[in-house]
Amino acid sequence: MVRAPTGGDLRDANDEALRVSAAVGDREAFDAIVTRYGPVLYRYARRMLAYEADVPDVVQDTFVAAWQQIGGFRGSSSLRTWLFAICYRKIADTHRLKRARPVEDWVLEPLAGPDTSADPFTAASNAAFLDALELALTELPVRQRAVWMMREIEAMTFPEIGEVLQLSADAVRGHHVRATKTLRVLLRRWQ
Amino acid sequence: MTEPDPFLHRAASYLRSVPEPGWDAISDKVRAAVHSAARVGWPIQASRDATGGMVYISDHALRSLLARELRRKFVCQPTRIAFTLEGVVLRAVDIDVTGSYGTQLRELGDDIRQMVIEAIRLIFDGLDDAGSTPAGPIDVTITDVVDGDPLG
Repeated sequence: MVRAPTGGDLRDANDEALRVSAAVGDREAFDAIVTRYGPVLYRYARRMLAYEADVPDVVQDTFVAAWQQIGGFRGSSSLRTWLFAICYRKIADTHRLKRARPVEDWVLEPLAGPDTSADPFTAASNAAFLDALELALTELPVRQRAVWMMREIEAMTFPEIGEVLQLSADAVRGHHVRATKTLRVLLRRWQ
Repeated sequence: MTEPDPFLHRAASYLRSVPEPGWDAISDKVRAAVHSAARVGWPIQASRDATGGMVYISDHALRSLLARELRRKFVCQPTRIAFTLEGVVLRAVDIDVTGSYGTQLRELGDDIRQMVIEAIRLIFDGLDDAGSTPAGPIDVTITDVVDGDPLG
């Protein structure tokens, strides 16, 4: 008999294999998709929504919709892009997007003053740096924030982001340029 | 073209590595919501209970069961599992799979067919010794062959 050496373990299965298995109806394959992309979509939704209380509903609705639709998804885009597109629509449906909110300059300054030798990524200052980074992101307009996060945090390509946001790759690139410039300015004191 | 910015690149990596405790708190609830989500399907007559009532299984549940068993037992990936129904009676099962180079495909097809018969026998009344269900044929098609494990 031709036995599976790994017992069909899905932890290391690639996205396309998970998509095909879940599309056939393999519920465990979809569970593996939830495990892989749950934290990813959660952090994306958390930074896009005005109220953290809305995040669980959006993420849950995203996965429920994905499970109901995956049988008809033929892999025209990557699994990740497809999930982000569903999540983006669910976020938009809430009408509770985190709008760009100007913050005072001092909020983004290092607490101990500008010390160019200090590395904001070290343990001593990273909590304050993380706060400053999160605040800086809230200053970005919604699309710029979405583009910057998908590009820089999730390492998605401009065409993939364009599919999620229904924009051309050039338009996405433009949003990314503006977001990067703004973040450079807002976080200059940490550099 | 955006100039690469080492500082922002590190900032993004940092954000990527920050734990999401909010996800950990809701993950079980999300999985439960997915499992209980309604999907349009068909009932398939499975057996008769002790009181003479009929027991049905949804086509989704049967498909999920077979897909899981195939994945766990064989070096293959099912890409289609289709049922032919006559009303609520199962008449045939068609399975497409991707196999792996080096596998004896005829043997794989026979093994899959036998496994499906055994799995269905556990659920459905009325199988005969040849494996015919009220169903009839169980067809297995190897639609693709890839290097290594099709699960990647």
